[in-house]
Amino acid sequence: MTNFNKINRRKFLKGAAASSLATAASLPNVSFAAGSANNYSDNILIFVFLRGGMDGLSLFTPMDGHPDRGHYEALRSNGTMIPSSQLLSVGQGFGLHPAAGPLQDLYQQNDLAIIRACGLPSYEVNRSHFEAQRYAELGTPGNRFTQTGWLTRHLSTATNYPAAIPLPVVVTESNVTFSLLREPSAVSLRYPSSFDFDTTNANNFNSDQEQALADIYSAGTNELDAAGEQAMAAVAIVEQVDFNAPPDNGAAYPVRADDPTRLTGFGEELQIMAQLIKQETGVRIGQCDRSGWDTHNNQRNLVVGEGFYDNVRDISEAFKAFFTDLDVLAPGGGTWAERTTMLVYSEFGRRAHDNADAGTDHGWANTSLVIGGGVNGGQQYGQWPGLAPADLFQGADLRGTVDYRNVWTEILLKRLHNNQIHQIFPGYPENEYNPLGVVSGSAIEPDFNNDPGLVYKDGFE
Amino acid sequence: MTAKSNLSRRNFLKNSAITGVAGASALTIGFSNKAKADAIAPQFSGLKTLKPSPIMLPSVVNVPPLGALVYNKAAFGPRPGDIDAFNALGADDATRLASWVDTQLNPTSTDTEVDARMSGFLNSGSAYDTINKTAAQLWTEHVRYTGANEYSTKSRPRYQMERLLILRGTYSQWQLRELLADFWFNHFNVKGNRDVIRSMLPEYDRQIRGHIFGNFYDMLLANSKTASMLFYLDNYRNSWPNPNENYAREVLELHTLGAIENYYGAVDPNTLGNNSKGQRTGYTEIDVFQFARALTGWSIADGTGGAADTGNFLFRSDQHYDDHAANPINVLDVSIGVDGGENDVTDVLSYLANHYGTARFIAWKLCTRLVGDNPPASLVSSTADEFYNRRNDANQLKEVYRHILLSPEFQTTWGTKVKRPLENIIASMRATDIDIDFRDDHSPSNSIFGRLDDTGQKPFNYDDPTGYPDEKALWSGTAPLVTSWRTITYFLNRSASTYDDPDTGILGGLRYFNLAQQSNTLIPSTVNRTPTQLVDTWMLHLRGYAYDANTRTQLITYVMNKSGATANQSIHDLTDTNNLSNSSTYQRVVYTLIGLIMMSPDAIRR
Repeated sequence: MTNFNKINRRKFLKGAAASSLATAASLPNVSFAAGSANNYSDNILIFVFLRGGMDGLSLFTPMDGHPDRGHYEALRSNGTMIPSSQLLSVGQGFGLHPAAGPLQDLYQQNDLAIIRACGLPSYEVNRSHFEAQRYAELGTPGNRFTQTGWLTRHLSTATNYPAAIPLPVVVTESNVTFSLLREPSAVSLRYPSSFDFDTTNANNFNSDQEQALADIYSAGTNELDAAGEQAMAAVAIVEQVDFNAPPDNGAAYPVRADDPTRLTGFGEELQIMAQLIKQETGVRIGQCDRSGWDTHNNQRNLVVGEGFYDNVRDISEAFKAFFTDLDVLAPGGGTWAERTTMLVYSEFGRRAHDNADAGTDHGWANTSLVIGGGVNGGQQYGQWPGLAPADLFQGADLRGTVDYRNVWTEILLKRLHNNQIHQIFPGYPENEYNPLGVVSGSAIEPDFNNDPGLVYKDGFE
Repeated sequence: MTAKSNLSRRNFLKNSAITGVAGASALTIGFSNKAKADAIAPQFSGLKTLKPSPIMLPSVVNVPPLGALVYNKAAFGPRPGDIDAFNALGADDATRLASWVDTQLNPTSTDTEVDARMSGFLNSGSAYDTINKTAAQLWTEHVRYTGANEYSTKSRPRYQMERLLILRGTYSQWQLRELLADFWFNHFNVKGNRDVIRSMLPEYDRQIRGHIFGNFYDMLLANSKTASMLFYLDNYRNSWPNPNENYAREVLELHTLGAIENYYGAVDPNTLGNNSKGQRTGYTEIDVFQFARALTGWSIADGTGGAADTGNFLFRSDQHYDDHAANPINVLDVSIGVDGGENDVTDVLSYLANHYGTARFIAWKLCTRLVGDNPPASLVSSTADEFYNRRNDANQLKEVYRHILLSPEFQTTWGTKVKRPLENIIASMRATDIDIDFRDDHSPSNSIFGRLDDTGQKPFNYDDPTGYPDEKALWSGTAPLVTSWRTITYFLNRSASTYDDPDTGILGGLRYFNLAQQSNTLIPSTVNRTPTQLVDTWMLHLRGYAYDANTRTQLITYVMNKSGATANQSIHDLTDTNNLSNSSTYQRVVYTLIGLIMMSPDAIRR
């Protein structure tokens, strides 16, 4: 943790507790058992959720020459059709949205994989944003009452993390996400500058007041006490991070279309995540959300600076900047970018056909992306289901061919080295898991034990 | 690991053992038996049930006295004197509660303190001048305004509504109404900063408030005709032959039946059975399409298509579905074979409002808000029955609230929810009896609103039609806690300052509320100003009951450390407790202690 030795530390780190940041302020997470030295311990997963139902058919689109191009143009006759000449080819007859130039770069560098027609399993198709988001993030399609998220269960079953990590899990949002529901080590951090008490006028009372509050919460024994104690520990750590540190390698995070002097919200979030990673706070799991995809009307696929066009521009520039920024050596060998895998998912795709308002309503399957370390990029995965009328689900939606759990399981096994699939995706039938080869890494044998008696055995009895 | 982190770890293990959440080794979802396991296992088909969560959070803390419980769950927290007043309502808790609830369910048109604070500004010609504007005025003077200061003029009604929400939460004598107004606004959520909505917000809120104690169908129908909702969910442009499904879907999913228990996805509706009332048990994707068809033409007079530009509701028959004879509209049990125009919509809305599934969904949401997360199934059922049986009554909702609030479950459930940031902050303002007037274009008001934005719960600011989430687990994270505390410390740290605006002569801002002076009023004798007395007196004054022993001990220790006094020694021995300046040691001891009391776990529970 040499980085932190250069940073002014104060408050909590007094006396014996000041031995090192990593131990003094590590968050209370029991799941970080003593780790092995293998390199899987160092892999990082950044989960990006595109909230609102991203129109995958406008991000990844058949071009002239593809047998579905004619169907596409017929389906998108109300103002959302993208001319083939403007699409950015990624081969196999498909092109990316005109604003996705940085994604095309990543694809051509073999750093980006495209999953076609990915989504909820056919037996749990759901066109409600809020149900479909829960089903995905809770890891239990069909059950919205699951009490923990898929990443919560990954963290509590992983055995390869070091014993103490200052900030193992960060969500750059105001609230914790369903993926990390009830994850005790998750820190939600949207605005670093406001992640502290108000200090004006209180002078030295401020730090003592913080310490007293930490003591109050530490003394308690229930869930809320744990949350408060963690909040106070997080305050102590976060205030030592330099959020003014400039990006490496000239990485250019996206700026706002209406104000080029400021980063976009999503650009800010990914930059914060990169700063936390590079300053060795220990982030292993991160989540960043990007909303604004619910394009029922006036989708504006081709209007520079607005609507869907600007959304795609924003995420594309942000993804590329993030991995450019992380392309610096990390302690222990390799670069941060090599250790970091990003999974990009949206709750559902939109209707294959557009509506009269130059918009699109809710559909089923969608395009998903996997970017960065260990990704077998420059390739497309999953069967393309076709856009002919008979190919569409209920005559309306792109039909799903890849269960989202299939891709996420492969990442868990090969990148995060966790094989407890029956705990992370309870009820996921073993015979439905067919790894596509999206990521590399020595695969470990997945544990799909579906005996509920074992799956839900209470270890505290 | 240091001693501190070992302690943390032990605490956490204890917690894990209780909630079964973050288990050690190969344990995640801590169910002790197969029944619980089955309860959470994915259901691939068949009926869904609205079951209580398999993991019940522990009832970790002592239930506070009823008056404190009521003011923390059915209000925004007690102000000094509130709990004494509650206790004076009768000889026993049952009498007091019945009396309190009855009063709160029948608000008069007077809201003394809110009215006074609002009219102060009205007289000065400044803030709150848009609140009572008619829909037509808001449309003409704000939605359609062009010229200088266009953005701020269009947004002015929203700014004033945001500030009024805090003002009402803090000072209204009709606390239950304010809590319910927030509930229903979020039930019918619109995003306050969107075009049209930012200007029409006073009218939108007024339409909801008009029915809070009335009939649900009336509320639903009025809501469906507001310019704000019609714009927010796009129905103003829903037209045949390419319907926009957005509003139709959310009415079913969020406003009436709810997706949780009553959405069957992409299945054939003919495969669904009936509920106990003989109504089809839920809705499918087909019903969404069909309802969207019925809703074509349900729009706004916005100057387009030959309509006037008034912002009023307008049914555009030329955009309405017209092929009923060949293809009737079928939404659940409603079948419309002849074009009924507007009746196509009201027939469906009326059916939905009277569906037992809607009764269960609204009952579950209300119980979750007023009683706690994972409310007992028996209470949800009895509340749903009350809602359903009174579906034709003008005071339907009033009696539903009464049913919940007088239930044993309401009176004995504690700590299964936390106050969300907005509730935390308002509760702190109420407890400290802060003297603050909010107005737009005003620096201290703006400061607090900037901080509220950081908390993730700025009023009228949630993006999605779900409204702000209500689940404890989503608000117990680091960011909601730290940002709430940042706001509470912000205004307490300024408690000894004055923000009256001498330049304009406008009364306003955060006025001097000298907490050290208040402390001395509570503890007149200098010899009694000990750490123990300060903590006990302020805990009782602010919160109405004593916190758990751990917290109390830590608070006393804090005051001892800051003052140098022993637990029962007067602070006056060491520093002048009659020095009431804003920078005196005593002043700082007092307001930081109050901050700790308001940031303690017992202050956050509800």
